[in-house]
Order: sequence, then structure tokens, then C-alpha cells
Amino acid sequence: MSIPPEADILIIGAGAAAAAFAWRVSGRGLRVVALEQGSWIDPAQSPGGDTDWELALQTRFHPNPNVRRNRADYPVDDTNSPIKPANFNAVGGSTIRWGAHFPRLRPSDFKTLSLDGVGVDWPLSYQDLAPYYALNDAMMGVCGLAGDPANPPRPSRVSPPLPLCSATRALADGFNALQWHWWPSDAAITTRNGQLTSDRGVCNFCGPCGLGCARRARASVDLTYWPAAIAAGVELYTGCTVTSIEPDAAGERVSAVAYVNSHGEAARINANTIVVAASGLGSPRLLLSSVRAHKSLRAIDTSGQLGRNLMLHPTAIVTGLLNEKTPSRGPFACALYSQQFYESDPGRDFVRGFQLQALRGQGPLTTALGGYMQRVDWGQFHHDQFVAEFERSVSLTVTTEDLPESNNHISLHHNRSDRWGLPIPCMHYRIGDNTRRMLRFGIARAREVLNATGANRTKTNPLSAQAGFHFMGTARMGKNPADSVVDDAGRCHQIPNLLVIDGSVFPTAGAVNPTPTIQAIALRCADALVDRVMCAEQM
Amino acid sequence: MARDQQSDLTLLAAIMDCLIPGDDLNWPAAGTHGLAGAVMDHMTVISPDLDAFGVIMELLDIDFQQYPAAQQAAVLRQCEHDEPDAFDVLVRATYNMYYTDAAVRKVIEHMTGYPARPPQPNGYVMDPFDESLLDVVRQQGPSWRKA
Repeated sequence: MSIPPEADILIIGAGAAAAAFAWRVSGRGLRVVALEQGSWIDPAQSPGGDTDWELALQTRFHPNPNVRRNRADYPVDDTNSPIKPANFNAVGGSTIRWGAHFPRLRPSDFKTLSLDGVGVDWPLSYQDLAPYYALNDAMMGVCGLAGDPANPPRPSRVSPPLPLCSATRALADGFNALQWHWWPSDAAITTRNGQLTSDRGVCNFCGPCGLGCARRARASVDLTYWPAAIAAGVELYTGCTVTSIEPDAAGERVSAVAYVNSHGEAARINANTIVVAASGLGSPRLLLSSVRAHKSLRAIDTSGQLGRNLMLHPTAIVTGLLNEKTPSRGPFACALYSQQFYESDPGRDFVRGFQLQALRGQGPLTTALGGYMQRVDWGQFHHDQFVAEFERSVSLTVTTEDLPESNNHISLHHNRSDRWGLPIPCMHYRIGDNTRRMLRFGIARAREVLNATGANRTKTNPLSAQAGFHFMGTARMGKNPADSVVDDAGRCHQIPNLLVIDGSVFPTAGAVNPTPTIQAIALRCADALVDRVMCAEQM
Repeated sequence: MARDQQSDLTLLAAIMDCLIPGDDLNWPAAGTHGLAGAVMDHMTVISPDLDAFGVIMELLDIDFQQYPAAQQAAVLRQCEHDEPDAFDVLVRATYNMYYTDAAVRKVIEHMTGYPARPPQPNGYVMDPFDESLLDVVRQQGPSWRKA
């Protein structure tokens, strides 16, 4: 199929936000075209069935694009960041290589300035997003258990929670012994037959969800939203890398994108509305590059906030070593979480909070390489250490809320470009003082619960380097054009037919995985756009 | 100076035996087990821009293979200190090949019960989630702030 020269809505990217948005605007008589630089990934080809499946996690399914170096990846200069980038470039974006943990932000996450005097308030509330969270849960096929007292009530999940293994069951007992909050994870994983209309299978608890899921039980948007969107008429083209967004002659709107197709040929598409959904890393990169190329697009960044306020959820991992053999099985990221320390407490030396999340299911190679702990030392005692740790540990992440700081930002490299000629992005990030104190406190609490679990000792990774999965804040939304890039409908304040709808728009980060919120925002932005288009047609 | 491939592999095998030694009971030594060729190739995959083996080889005495194990280990510790990036590539490549080797996975299965098969297609059988575990939490009441 040839790529059209015109579209009503042109979407850049095919990840979590783009897919939800595309589906929501589909079937309305609008020509919707999406361009994705990666390709489709066949879940049937997941290396989870290969004997060297753990090797794939170190190579072609490594989270860091600088290590993975797949054809669709672009390099990222991470020299000035202790947290390295983690993403995936394909139809499905980072949902191809994720754990599918599916929490929501809490109401207080939207009002950090009003409640706690830090960060900024969002221009929308939890209540504004609640119906979109529910719709998104249904589309993604979320398992879990309603009734968590740490969160507002939500509808029953479409399938029951994932089971606990011996290791995470011991952890649950540890939380109960301390009378701390914990709850089974909401996860975009199907656990029961017949709950979804698509061809999703049922989880058999194999573990390495990050390799893709041959059973199609673990959701990714290439399995959920995209088939529905395409069936409703959305056109998705792969191997197409957008190199620039272009202004109209008057310089007041955007009118087209330039891209390179899968044959390496340069082309362009005119569009009435351009929607940027290339992640909190890729979106500011493309916007900054386009501003550099076209002076009239400087209006995108009149606030000076484009690329700034980068937030990454700094994460520590604490592992308890157990006396007994304690098999750790099941989806690696989805077992249970604790939000005992999520809200601010004036008795602590930091504001805001963090989540503790159980990890499980490491294989032998991942254990030897360090995985959730440190690498097993080489030499005379290598096997003794391996046997002492493998199948005898349970780990907790301490996932912290980092606050927006202007100095943490994405910039364009001054002389390095990718294969398509775009300047590569540079991460500039330091961990804030509040977050450092929070990590220190969180590590101590993780040790406390692991000791209550029966650990004979703990090992701590004080900062997980390969954990920059959650790029947020780099084109933040707000009511005031002086301090934000887009409004609550994703529209650039000064260029209303240019939308940004991914994690870039988060004003603050919360302390949980952002994908459900990213998708809820994308659905809401889609409704707002359709309303505007329909109103304009009726006038 | 041109390097002799077989000599390189013999030296690499000796280094690998030092990194992951064998024992008389279960574990094969990484080099003796015949993984040197695979490790040599894999180093270029995970680090195409660095001749890790070449960097390390430059630091080794010509008699390295004749040293007793303790002395070999001491030499390699010094290499690790002096050339951490190259040594890291060597260790990762050795671990990658060793712990994905079918015979080694059989040893792990024998010693720990962890099955020597890929996660799919069989997965694992697990008991359903037991909601009674949440009784303690449910007694605590709501803890989220309205906003």
C-alpha cells in the first residue's frame, strides 16, 4: 500500500499512547495515518521458547538501545545521566519489552504543589482521567483485584490476579507481619479464558515478559489497540522515520511532516493535525530538532520548558537472601506492590513517596550477571556464591517519585546524528536531594520487610542504572503557556494543531509505572480532538 | 604482530577456566568445557568497538598458562583493575556462553531443581492467588488522600 500524501490526523509513533489515540479517533470519517520507524514484532517469534532465551535479554531484547542496537534504534548520549535509557522501537513501542505492571496514579499525584508545596499541579484531576483509566483497562485486558485500600475504588478486573510463588508468598507474609500495606499487582496480562474479544491467550506464568509473549497473554498495543484501530480504518506504516515537523506558510500552524521511508527515500505528508507520540525521549528530540530547522516553530517553546523537567523514577533494588530454597516463578514484574510509604509524611526528611514492588523469576544467567543484585564474582568461589543466591532470594524495587527540575533535560547532540540524519538526544540528569533522601529511607524499609520475610542478609543496588524506562515531563502540560508546553488536551499552546500525547506531558511523575496514565491521557486527548473537529464541521 | 587463532583460543580457555573453574563433582570449567570459540565470537557481538581479548592479552605474561591457579587469578585481578571495560566484556561473554550451555543448564537443574528448558511453551503451574492473605491489609482502611 502506498503512503498517502495527505491525512486529517498524522500520528508520529506507534507505542502505547499512539495506539490508544489512533483507536479512539478511528471510525469517525477522518483519514488517520500513523508513521512508525520500527516494524511489527511477531510474538510467536519470542525467544521465550529458545534455549538461549536469557541471552536475548542481553542482546536483541536488551532494554538499552545503545546496547541493543537494533535497526530501528537511535543512539542516546547518556554520558551525563546515571540512569541509562530503556525503550523499544517497534509497533507497540516499549510495550513490546515491558513487564505490564499496570498501576494508576493516585489523586494526590495530580496536586503535588497544592498538597505538598513541590512540583506543579496538573491541569486535570484523577476524576478527569478515571473513565479513561477504566476504558483503557478493558482494552488492554487487565488482571488484578479491585478493593485496594491504598487507591480509589475501581471496577472489577477482567481476570483474577496473578498467583504468588514461594518467594513472593514469603514476602506477603513479611508485609503482613509488619502490618504494612501490600496488594496483588494490576497487570496487563490475561489470567482466564474468554475475558477478551481478541485472540489473547492465557498466561502460563513463564516469567520473562520482557521477551514478548508467544501466548499473547501479556498485552502490548500491537495486540490490543492497533488491530482494532486498523480494522476501523487507521493506516499504520512501518519503517518510516519522521525527520521534521514543518510549519505552514504563515508560521502559525504545522502543516506537514518530512520522513524517510523504509527504502531510504525522503517524502512528506500534509496533515491538518499532527500528533507527536514518540515518548518522553523521542518527542522532545523531534520537536527540538524541528524548532531548530524552522524558526517559526519557536512558538512551540515560548515557555522554554520543551525538553526540560525530565523525570525517570530513580529505582533501588534490595534483595533478601533466604535460608531455604524458595523458587521464584511467574511474570517478573507483576506479583505484589506496597504503597505503605506513597504519600507525604511530615515526620520524614523528604516529601512525596515511593512504591515497593516485588520482582521475581530470574534465570541462571541473569543471576550470574547480577540481575537484581551484583554480579556473581568470578574465581574460586564462583559456584558457591551462585548456589547460595540462585533460587534463594526475593527482591523489591524502591521506585521513587522524582520531582521536576529544570536542569534535568533532553537536548540535541551538537555533532552526532543517527542513520536518518537527526541529531541524537542527550540526557542530562542528576538525582535530586529529595529523591536521594527518599531512596535512603526506602532502602531501609525494604531491608526491614525483607528481614521480616526471613532473609538472612540483604544486598542492595542503590540505583538501578539500566532502568530509564519512564521518560516523563519533557513537554509538560499546564494551564499557563508561560510555564508549560501543551494544554490539558495535548495541544501546544501557541500551535493548536500540534499535539503531544505521551509521557512528555506529565507535569509530575508519581511513583508508579506511567503507561496506564499515558494511555488514559491519550484517550482523553483523542476525545477532545474529535469534539473540536466535529464542532468545526457543524459551524 | 599477527595473532595465531588457535593460540588465542588456548589462552582464552585458560583465562575462562580461571573465571569459572570446574569441580570434580558437577560443574565443568568454562574453558575446558570447550566454550572459548563461542566466547571469542560473542565478545565482538556485545562490544564490536573494543578488542577486549586483545587488550587483555597485552597485559598477560607469556608464561601465564604455566602459572598455578592462584597466580593466574592474581594476574587477572590486576587486569580487571587496569582495564575494567575490556575485562567486563570478557566476563560477560564468558557468563553468557556458560550459563546458556545445555550441559551447564543440566547441572543447574540437578543441583537446584530449576528446569533445564526454556520458559515456553510449558511455563509453570501455580496455585491461584489466595485472597485470605489480604485480611490484614483490608483491616487497615483507605490510605489514599482525596484531592
